[in-house]
Order: sequence, then structure tokens, then C-alpha cells
Amino acid sequence: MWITVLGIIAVVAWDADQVVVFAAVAAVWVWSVVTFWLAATGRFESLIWLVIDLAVAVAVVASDAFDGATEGGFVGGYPMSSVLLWGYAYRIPGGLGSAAVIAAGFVVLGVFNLAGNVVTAILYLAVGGVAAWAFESIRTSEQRRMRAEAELEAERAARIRIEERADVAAHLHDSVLQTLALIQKGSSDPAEVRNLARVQERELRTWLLGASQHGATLMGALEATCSDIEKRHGVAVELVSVGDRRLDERLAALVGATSESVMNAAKHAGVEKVSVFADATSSPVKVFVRDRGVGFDPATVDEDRQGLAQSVKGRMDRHGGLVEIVSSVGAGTEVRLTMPAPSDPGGASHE
Amino acid sequence: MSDKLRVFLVDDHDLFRAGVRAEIGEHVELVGEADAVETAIELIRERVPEVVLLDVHLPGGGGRAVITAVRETHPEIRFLALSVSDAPEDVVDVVHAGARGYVTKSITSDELIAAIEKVATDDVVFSPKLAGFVLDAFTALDPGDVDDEWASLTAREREVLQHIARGYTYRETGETLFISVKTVESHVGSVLRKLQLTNRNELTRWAAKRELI
Repeated sequence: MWITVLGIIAVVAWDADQVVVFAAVAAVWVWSVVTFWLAATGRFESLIWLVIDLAVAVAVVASDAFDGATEGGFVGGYPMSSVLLWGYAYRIPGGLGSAAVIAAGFVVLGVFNLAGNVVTAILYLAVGGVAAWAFESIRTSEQRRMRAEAELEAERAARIRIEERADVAAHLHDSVLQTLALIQKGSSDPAEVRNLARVQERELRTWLLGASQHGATLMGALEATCSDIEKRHGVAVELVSVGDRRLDERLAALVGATSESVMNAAKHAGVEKVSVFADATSSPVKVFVRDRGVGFDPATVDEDRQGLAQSVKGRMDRHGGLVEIVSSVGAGTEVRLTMPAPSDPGGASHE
Repeated sequence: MSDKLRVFLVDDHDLFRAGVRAEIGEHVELVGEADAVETAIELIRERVPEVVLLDVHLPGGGGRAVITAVRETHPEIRFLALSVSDAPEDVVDVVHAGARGYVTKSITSDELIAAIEKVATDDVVFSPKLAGFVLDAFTALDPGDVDDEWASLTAREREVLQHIARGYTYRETGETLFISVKTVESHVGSVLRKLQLTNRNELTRWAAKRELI
């Protein structure tokens, strides 16, 4: 672009009788437009165009020599841009090589006096080298950045896959595996087995279709879960809820963790009743699952036992929630679940 | 005979009344039964029991109508509300009208007898459900709209209610919060007073909001 401006200034400023100079400027200007177009269409980096460009640059130097102008009006700019282009396309050898050619032009054609020519030649070589090196390091860091980004992206995708797998595993553990265990226990009663299978089938279908995740509220989901456990395990589940929120992915995980905790109490605590209190009036949303059963010593529970450890803690961890289990032998158990949620208790009072 | 509490039972389900009779008949003196608002008011005024067990839902105006009418003439009679599973606003409405507590019908006989005795001595019976309903109501009440002194619960009262909602007894709540059972009872009593002094329109508004969830 700058050469266009320079050309216009030159045309206006210079006398019309300097025909040779005028023609040269016009030619350079036309070439500049061509290079601009080539660059814009991304074809400039091919060798042939660069060679032509370098030739023009030398010609510019030569034209100044013919003209005998020593101010270097447009000697300074155009050849320099050619060096930069070479440095960009062919790295350090390109930058130095093109600089050498132009420098040789200065010396051979004797544009300035000897000292001036040498200084100019050194200047060109220096610019060619430095510019090419600068382009090189920019290019390298760019490549490094892109590589790092790609790695990060791959890692994220892998983590999401693992989390999804863990969610599916936890869900199957809560539902299908529990039902299968119940069926094995009660296999002498065909009606009971049929009923369990039917309940499980419906539940699994709903889950696979994702229907349970849409348009529901936290308390609605807890209600359904608790009454389901009541039906399947023959314990009373007293659900007390305050406030409500739309069910999102995190709260769905909270419901899953609650369900697992209640189920655990129903199976192991040896009680008739399990109390569930859910408070959604503020963030984090809190759920307490309490029984007055046999209790256990939390320190002695095996880390990789599926039950509470994996299904509740894992699920809560994955969604940024917390689990606290307070239990002692003989005094019952309380599982305290907290899950961060958007501060607006949406749906409870705002619609 | 005379040291047994005089209890009156109001419920429109025959089966349930029979069940309650069988469960608590030995421990209290059942002085009468009714299955509708009008007969209940009439008979309660006539028999003057110490405690009325009152179904939240009754044909002819609900539990609230019975409480309001009886308290005009017999303010000393206490009411304990009970129901299967009701909308929070209906339960809170009955408590607002003057019931001293609320229990669900799934309660065991021993717990029911204990609750009746508590109400008779002027204590308040907050089941986990009622604690949850009341917390919900007070959370939803807009402090700007209500006579402020009664509009909100203190942090301590809230804490006590939350523990009761979690299934803690008054005693367990006291132990966890390092306060005496008496203090827990007085907190619960003051919550009940605040609720009963709340403008009924506010409760209606809370109920309306709940419908929109």
C-alpha cells in the first residue's frame, strides 16, 4: 500500500519532463498493485512471484542509480519490503539472500558513494536476517500454541467421555443392578419379580429417552424418587422440601445421590422410616438423608466399594457438590449433600 | 379415668377414625367424633375436650372453619391437625387459624399419643413436614410487605426448624445446637406465634406463588 502512496506523491512532486523516472514509477506502481492482489489471494509466496518481485526491487535500485538521485526517496522502501517477503517465505536464507542481491545492486550500480553503499548493504543484510528470524520465532510460537490448544481440547473431550461413562455406570448401579439384586432375593415370588422388572423397565426407558431431565423440578424429581424407593423397598420415606428449582444437570446428579443415600438407608439401616429434607431456597442446595438405624463407622468403609463411596461421592464430586456422612454404630446415619446452584431460585417464585 | 386426656376426633374417613380409636383408645378418653364442620363445632362446644384431633380437609369449610368457630367460644381448647398428605398451604392455613401442631397420619401410635400430650400442655408439635412448610412460607413472604416484626424468623429459629425438618427430635435438635429442650420448645413456640400473627393475605400470596412452580 505504501508504494501506491509513494508513487502518487512521486508523480505529483516530480517534473513531467523526467519521463524515464515517471515511467519507472508507473511500472513500480503497477507491480505494487499486482503484488497486493497476489498477496490478497494468497499466491504471493510461490517462488516465481518472489523472484519477479526481487527483480523489480533491483530495478528500483537501478532506476535511482540512473536517475542519480541520492536522497533515496523511494529506494528505501520498496526493496526493503521485498527483503521482508523473502524472509517470510524462505526464512533466514531467503531474507539474507535477497538482501545480498539488493546490496550487491547498490554496490555494483553505485547508487551512493562507496561508504554509503556499504552501509546500505549492511543495513539490508541486517534487516533481512533479523526480520527472517522474527518471522521464524513468531511462526514457531504460533505452532506451539496451536499444538497446546489441540492437546487441551483432546484432553477435555476425553474427560467428558469419562464423566459420562461414570454417570452411566452410577445410574446403572442405582437402578438396574439394584433391581437385579432384588429379583435374585425374591425370585420365589413370580408376581413380585414381574413387578420389579416392570418398574425397572419403565425407569430405564425414561432415563434412556432423557425424559427425566426435561421440564422437571428438583422437588418433583425427589418426590418421584422417594416414592419409588418406598414402593420397592417397603420403607417409609418422609420427604420435606423447602423451595424448588428447575432440574438441571447438577441437580439431577443431586437427586441421584439422594436416591442412592435413601436406598442405602432402606437396605442397611434396618429402619421403617427414612427422613429426607431438601432445601432449595438458597445456593448451595442442601439435602439431608437421615435414618435412626444401626449406623456404621465411616472410617471402616472400603474406598472402592460401589455403594456410598462411588455412587454418592463420585457423582457429587463430578458436579462440584459435597458429601458429608455422619454416622456412628447404633445412632443412625445422616448423609448431608450440598450442590451449588444458580443463585436465582428459578421457578420457585419468579414465573 | 379422670387422669386421661379428653380427646375429640374430627375426620371424614370412617376407616381412619376406627383406626385412631383402636390405636389411642386405651391411652386417652375419646369424648366424641365428627365427620363434618357443622357437627364438629356443635359437639366440641358441647363436650369441651382438652384436645381436638382435626383433619385438615373436611367437607363444609375445612379444619380452619372448625378452629375459628370453636375458639370464639372456647379459646382454651387445643387443636392438633393431621392429614395424609396435604398441600402445604392448607396445612399452614390450619396452623395459622390456631392449631398447635401438625402431624401426618403415617405417625406411629406412640408418637401420636406423645403429640396429643404435648399439645395438651400447651407445647407446640412441629413435625418435619410442618417445619418444612413453615420454612417455605417464611422464605417466600416478602419482608417488605409484612408488619416486619413478625415477618421473619431469627437465624436461630430457622436453624431449629431446619433440624426438625431433617427428622431431629426436639431433644436431638437441642443437643446438636447446644441448647436445652426447653429453649428449642420456646423457639418453636415463637415461630408458631409469628406464623399466627402473619397477615392471612400474605399466606394466600405465598400459596399462589407455590402454584406457579
